[in-house]
Amino acid sequence: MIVVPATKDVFDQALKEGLIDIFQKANCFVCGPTCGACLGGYMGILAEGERCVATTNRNFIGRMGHKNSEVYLANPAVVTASAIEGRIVDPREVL
Amino acid sequence: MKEVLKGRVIKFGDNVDTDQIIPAEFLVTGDPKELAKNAFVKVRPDFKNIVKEGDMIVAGRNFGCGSSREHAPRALMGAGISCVIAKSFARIFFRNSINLGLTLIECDVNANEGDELLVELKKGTVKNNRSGEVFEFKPLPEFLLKIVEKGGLMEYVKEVLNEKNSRNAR
Repeated sequence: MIVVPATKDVFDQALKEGLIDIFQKANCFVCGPTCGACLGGYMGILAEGERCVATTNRNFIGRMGHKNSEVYLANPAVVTASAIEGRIVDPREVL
Repeated sequence: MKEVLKGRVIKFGDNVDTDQIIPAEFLVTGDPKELAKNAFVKVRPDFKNIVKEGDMIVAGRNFGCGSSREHAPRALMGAGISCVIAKSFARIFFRNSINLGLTLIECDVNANEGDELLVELKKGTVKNNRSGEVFEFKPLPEFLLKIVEKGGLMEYVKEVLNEKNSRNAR
């Protein structure tokens, strides 16, 4: 799971709230507030056949990497639950 | 900018997004010719082989949707595309194209891949030379035509400033 705080303020807030620590302990990878895999830039771009569920805003063909990779867009609850289960799930299943 | 364009059709469907036009990993240059090498590379890899100088893209609704990316019109221009004719355009792509000097025409035309079209920009007509059908569109406002004619907003502004400076110098 890749966590990208949208802005420095959000990053600061997450640090204060202890969220970054929780993410780290859960083996997430926390990036700085910048562009990344969302536009196929770097850090976790998708290879052929890989599938991602993300809270980003675009799921065009090849947007996050290989043209035969898949991008699903969802809210943070769905994404978090899916990261725990390893498949796309209804968050109510893990609550 | 020529007032009359003649070119061959390369056909696309609805919702062609800027990631299809030029994927993000190729945004490492602003050079139109370099960008053109990877235009539509993921969705239509043969594009760069079939496109010829003066060709026209004919597409459906919402052409150019998605990320704001001035490389998208640049890639098309570098590939030799003379204009894009679509039922509608995404607004950011529309502005980027005008500002970079790419002619866009909002028009619903019947055309197949390879048809030859004759576009009269100021008159507002597209004629399909194969079928003989003529389609009308609302020409771009004079102001926008002027920007396209100058080759984009930068060139247009430079000219306006030069005129202003030479007036002030007198």
